[in-house]
Amino acid sequence: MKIHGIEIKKINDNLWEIPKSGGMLVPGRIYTSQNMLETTLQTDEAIKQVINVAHLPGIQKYSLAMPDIHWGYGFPIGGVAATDLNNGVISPGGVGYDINCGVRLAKTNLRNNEVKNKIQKLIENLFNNIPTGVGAKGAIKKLSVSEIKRILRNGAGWAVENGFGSKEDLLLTEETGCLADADPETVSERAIERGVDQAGTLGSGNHFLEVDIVEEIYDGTKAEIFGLFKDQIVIQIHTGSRGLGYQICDDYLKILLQAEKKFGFNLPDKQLACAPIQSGEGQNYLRAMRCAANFAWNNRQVIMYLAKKSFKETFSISENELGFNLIYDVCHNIAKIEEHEVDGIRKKVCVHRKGATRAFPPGSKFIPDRYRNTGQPVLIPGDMGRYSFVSAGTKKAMEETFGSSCHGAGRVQSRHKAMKEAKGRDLLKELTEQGIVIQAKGFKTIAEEMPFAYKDVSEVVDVMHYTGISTKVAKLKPIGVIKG
Amino acid sequence: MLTIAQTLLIYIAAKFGFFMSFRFIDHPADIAVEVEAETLEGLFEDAAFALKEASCETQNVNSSKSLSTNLPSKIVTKEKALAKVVKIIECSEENLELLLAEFLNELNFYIQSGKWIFHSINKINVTQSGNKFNLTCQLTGNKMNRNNFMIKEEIKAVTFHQMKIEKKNNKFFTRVIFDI
Repeated sequence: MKIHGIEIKKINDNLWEIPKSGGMLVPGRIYTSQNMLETTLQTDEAIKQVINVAHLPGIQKYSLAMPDIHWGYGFPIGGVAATDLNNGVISPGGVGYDINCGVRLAKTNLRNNEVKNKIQKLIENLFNNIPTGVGAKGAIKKLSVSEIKRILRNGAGWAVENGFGSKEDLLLTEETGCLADADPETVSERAIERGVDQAGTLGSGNHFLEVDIVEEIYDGTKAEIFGLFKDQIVIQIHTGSRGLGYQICDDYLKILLQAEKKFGFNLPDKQLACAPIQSGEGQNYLRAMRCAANFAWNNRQVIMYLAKKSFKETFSISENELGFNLIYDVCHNIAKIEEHEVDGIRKKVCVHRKGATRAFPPGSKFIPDRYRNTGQPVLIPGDMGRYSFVSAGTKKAMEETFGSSCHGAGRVQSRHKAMKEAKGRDLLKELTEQGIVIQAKGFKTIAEEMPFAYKDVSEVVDVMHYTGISTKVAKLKPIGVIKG
Repeated sequence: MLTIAQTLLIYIAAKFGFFMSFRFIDHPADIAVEVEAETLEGLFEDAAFALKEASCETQNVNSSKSLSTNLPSKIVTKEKALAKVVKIIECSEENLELLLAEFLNELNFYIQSGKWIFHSINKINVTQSGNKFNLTCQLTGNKMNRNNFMIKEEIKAVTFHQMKIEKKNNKFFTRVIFDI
């Protein structure tokens, strides 16, 4: 099969390979269905980006793409690449502007019938307590620069130390909510200025807080261990490192463009600017990126605390009755040093996941004790009108995708087209008729984020399920959403 | 030969942005804009106003493009009371595309951090010395506050993806994508 003139070889129904050619150091591999390959990828330049990523010095095995692949900057969204720790490069384009954009899933003891009559009030309280929207600020008291730097070093630990959650929350967060070797001295004053008022804020665009019902259970044993049951009320939080992360990415793209020349790399796209991992430039980017990752974990921790407060206000019940507890928190825009098997040898690599979720298997020492028999929860949000999924990481993911799975649906319509389609329609009414209460800063966000603008996430999740990369545990259906 | 009235009209049109030439085009996820201008400096200037239009509610600020004539007088009074802040931006890059991205990202920082918004570009020069392209620019604007200004779009950064500055039919042209 050919797409954009590029030869694509079928490995199986859900896996396709782009053979090595030209300056590619490894082949490309795309996990997707024939249908998605023929429809969405025909109109998307992302396949070329899979090829571009295969040019990165030190790349191992394959330039990979998950089934939610779509066009990004440098890397495609849904791109995964591991580079050799000693001879490979680090590229901010493999992480993205929103460093540690991620998802957090919390559970409650409540069932749908206990919530449905108060959902309007609940959404109002959530919207009032959680700062949302462009330039949102003020979730917590104004912080000094030195306090912000403590967040950059300690991540979600800062929130817990300051009363926004418990130590148990940290144990249920990827990397316990804090990447070590984060150095605020590598972060520009500008990045701190952009982030100083944004700690604990949701932001805008596709970021959201959603109240969901567990609609379907696929794997009862794993669901029970995750703490999920049918008809249960759960909460998803999707946000990242806000302006601080965007500025760090922008700052280091400039620095790494110079490094690329210094080290004599000649890559097909400037947005793939990179530096050897072991160089000063590469190490500084990694230290700054970890600061942004920590800032994002702190954000999601603070927002979860505010969400819990909103539930308590709405239902006037005790903490025990409410049972509002974290299931897991995953990041889907990150670069991490991990150990993986390459050609039969265990080695340290830098795994870039840009729009991809870690999917570590049962038995991994890097996941919480309680998930040792299930594999880590993999959280895959869909659009605000249909459904989201909870899956579990597998051994196959370790063997094939450097322990990575998909991260979401991906747009199928531009924002402009979505606005056009929404014109003259009562979107709030349409969502209410589907049983979804929404509160947002404006009509524009709702229109741009309507379900018709997104791919059906179930098709994406099924590819990962049937290839055995991450297996389905539960399906969540939204009943309330707040957005910026 | 232009009359004094014609000269004055051209001056007013230039001053209030009637010569600006940019159009937003469809993009799958972000904001893309095509900019066209007679001169390189004009291209940079128009791209700056495109960034401003994409990110800000211009009717609430003292803008050179659309004056706030239909705003409640209370707001206009506040705007008039704001002190003008002049900024000089200087940057240097190895090619024009990187120079434009650098210039726009500089402006984006001021807007997104809620610090300052420009409303007119007074002097702008793009020059080449050796293998470097240089920009110096003087802009006049206002400090931002919640009463006079609203950011409508959180632009993460100005990317240099697919950016290429070209000269076609005696006009400079480029496409810029803002990541949102």
